[in-house]
Amino acid sequence: MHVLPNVFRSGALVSESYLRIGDDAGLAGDEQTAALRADVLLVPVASWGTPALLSRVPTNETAQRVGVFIQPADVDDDVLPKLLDAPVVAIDFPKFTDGRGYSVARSLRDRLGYSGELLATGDVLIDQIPLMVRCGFDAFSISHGPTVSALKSGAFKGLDHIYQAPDAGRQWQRRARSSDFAAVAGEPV
Amino acid sequence: MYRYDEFDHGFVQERTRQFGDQVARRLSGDLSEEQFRPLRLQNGLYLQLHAYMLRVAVPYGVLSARQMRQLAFIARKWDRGFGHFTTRQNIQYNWIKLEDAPAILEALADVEMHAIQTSGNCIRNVTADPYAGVALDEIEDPRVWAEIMRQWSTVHPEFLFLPRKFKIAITGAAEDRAAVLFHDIGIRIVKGEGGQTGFAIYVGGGQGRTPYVAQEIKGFLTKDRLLSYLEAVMRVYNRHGRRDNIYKARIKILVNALGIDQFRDEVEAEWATIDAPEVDLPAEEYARIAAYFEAKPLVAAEIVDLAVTERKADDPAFSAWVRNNVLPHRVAGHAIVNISLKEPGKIPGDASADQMDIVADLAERFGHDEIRVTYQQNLVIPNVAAADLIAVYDALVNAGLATGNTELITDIISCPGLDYCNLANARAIPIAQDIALRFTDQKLVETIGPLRLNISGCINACGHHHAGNIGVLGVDKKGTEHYQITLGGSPKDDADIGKIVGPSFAAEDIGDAIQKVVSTYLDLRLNQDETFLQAYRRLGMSPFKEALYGAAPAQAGDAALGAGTSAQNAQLQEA
Repeated sequence: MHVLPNVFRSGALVSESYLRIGDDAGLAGDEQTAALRADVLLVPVASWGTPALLSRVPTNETAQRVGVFIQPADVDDDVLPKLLDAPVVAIDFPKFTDGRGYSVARSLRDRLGYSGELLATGDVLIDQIPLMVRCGFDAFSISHGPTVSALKSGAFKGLDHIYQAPDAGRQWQRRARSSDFAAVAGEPV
Repeated sequence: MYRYDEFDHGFVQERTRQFGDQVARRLSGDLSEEQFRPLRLQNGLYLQLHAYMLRVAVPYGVLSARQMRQLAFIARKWDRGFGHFTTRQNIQYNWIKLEDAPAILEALADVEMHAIQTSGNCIRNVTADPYAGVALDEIEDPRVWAEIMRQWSTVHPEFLFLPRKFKIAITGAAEDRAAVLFHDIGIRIVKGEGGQTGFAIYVGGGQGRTPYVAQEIKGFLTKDRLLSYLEAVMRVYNRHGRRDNIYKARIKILVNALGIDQFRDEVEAEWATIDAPEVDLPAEEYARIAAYFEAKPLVAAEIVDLAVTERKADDPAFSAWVRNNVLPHRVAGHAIVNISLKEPGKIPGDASADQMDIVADLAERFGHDEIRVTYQQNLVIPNVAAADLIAVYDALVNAGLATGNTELITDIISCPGLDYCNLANARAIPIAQDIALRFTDQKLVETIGPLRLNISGCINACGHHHAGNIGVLGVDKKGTEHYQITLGGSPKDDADIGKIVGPSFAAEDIGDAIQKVVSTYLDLRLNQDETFLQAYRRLGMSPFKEALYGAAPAQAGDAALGAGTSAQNAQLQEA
């Protein structure tokens, strides 16, 4: 199991705890306790929707959200439609140069109309976050120090001029807007 | 040509500021070199053997006189007075200091230019037929669609971290002058049933160590669906292209692993799910962009200009230049003027700042303010009145730009090779110079006729050796520079990949070997109309092999020479 570092959403560092559990869902006692306490519990995509696994995941029924964690390299197209009712889908970027997550995000958001939280995890860096926002991500778990600082200070922003607006209406409405980054940094759009 | 509006200006200025900030964060240590590298590459800054190289985008090879003057200014102020025109119709400067890059980008922005996506694993500058809009055999002007694709692909958020670089070319003419079949995506404007125009789409072409000719994925795509279709191809590639091995990461490998039919099925399935109105181009936006490419207001005139005819009779050099470098224009009494950057002995594709200024002046005075860059590393003034040909020629002669060798043996495509490039196994430029200097007799050169000779300094094939009728490939043979010869490649409609003749030659022997190949062709051709490529296809490899190696069977053993070292593999990340 793995506690996700620094999750930013709607322009702020959230206080919720995010816990990812591995393929082996037979949780030991202290792990069960941790899983119970997590605000957001992420299960592997291979196990998503599998009653056998979910029954073994101890859910805190008060407020806990149980979502799914995916590695873009391992996701087949027929899996994505099964994720639409997940409150959180975490897409991993094993390296920031591995751009598969952008396409998976667009498939979920634009093609399948996924409306829950789309969380980028892994090698998430400040210069790529505006691109992620434009592909539909709205939450980010970040371990890179300068990126955490930049997000906290709110000083960073992406390009205001974009030739495509796939996250917001027709692509060919070229427009300048206050910032792609607004969804993260919480600036007025 | 396309002119920036307020939005485009704002975009480039903002992007320049963004890169300045990224440079600052690199210097402060907030960004590691690994984290900075893709950002710098996406802004055209490439680390070479001796210095940074800045590759400036020339969208589909179209330049105004003002832009060309600015390129000359940059060459004088921040480089060594030269620029190098590339096989992507771009220009690169080989001696740039990192700290000057932001100022250069600002100078480019002043003339509506930039260096965005000229490197890195993203969609690169879209290339097009250099005679777009003026060629006699054109079905429809591809520049409109090239500009549309430029805008669509510019900082497209989904496609900046692809498995590998991605190159798109488009032609709207009957004859392919853009080598579309050697691109990741090649597009031809074609006429469909009922005469309406659309696109034939080819996918998976490319050179490098695993060359492929692109295969047709869609025979006819209606024009209004281009962007959604491209987006479907890109998404399938981005999700499923290999990322574990840089040599197997181009789309050509995916296409050939799946087979074109399965790849097509996957694209069609993806395409069917794309919300087309969100992605495809609305008619009004097409109209806005197309308006920039209205034909020049040229007045038709007599096709034959008397003064030109007289000068041709008196001046064999002028006559040869007209014969080889001047092509008919779609408006009578006008011409397409090719400006050769291939004077024998010079570096193919290089232009001095003074030469750039002279071409800019000529384009302004005689060429309706327009210049093109060709992927063969030459320049074109596409709109010249026949009556002005003499003035243009005389000015070009004075500038060393009047060599009449377009598409002839000395019109050599060459990569920078080991003189500049980290990846190279061998020098390419001195070989190009050596070969060209063996063919300075204009009569001989014209007797040989159309012959594409291309030189690459390594297997990455930036000099397009695979597509040369004669290709020369630099290899490292036990620490010495050697050169393989390939025969039979073609970049055109009959696209093909050249085949290796036999063992490689040392640098001092490659020129002789090329001469032997050419002599063999001249001896064996049916008549003067049979081109080198036609003769090769009729004769096969044997007579050339025999001329080079004697009657005995040639030794094998060069096949493994192209394999790169791990240091080269690391450097390839830059390419």
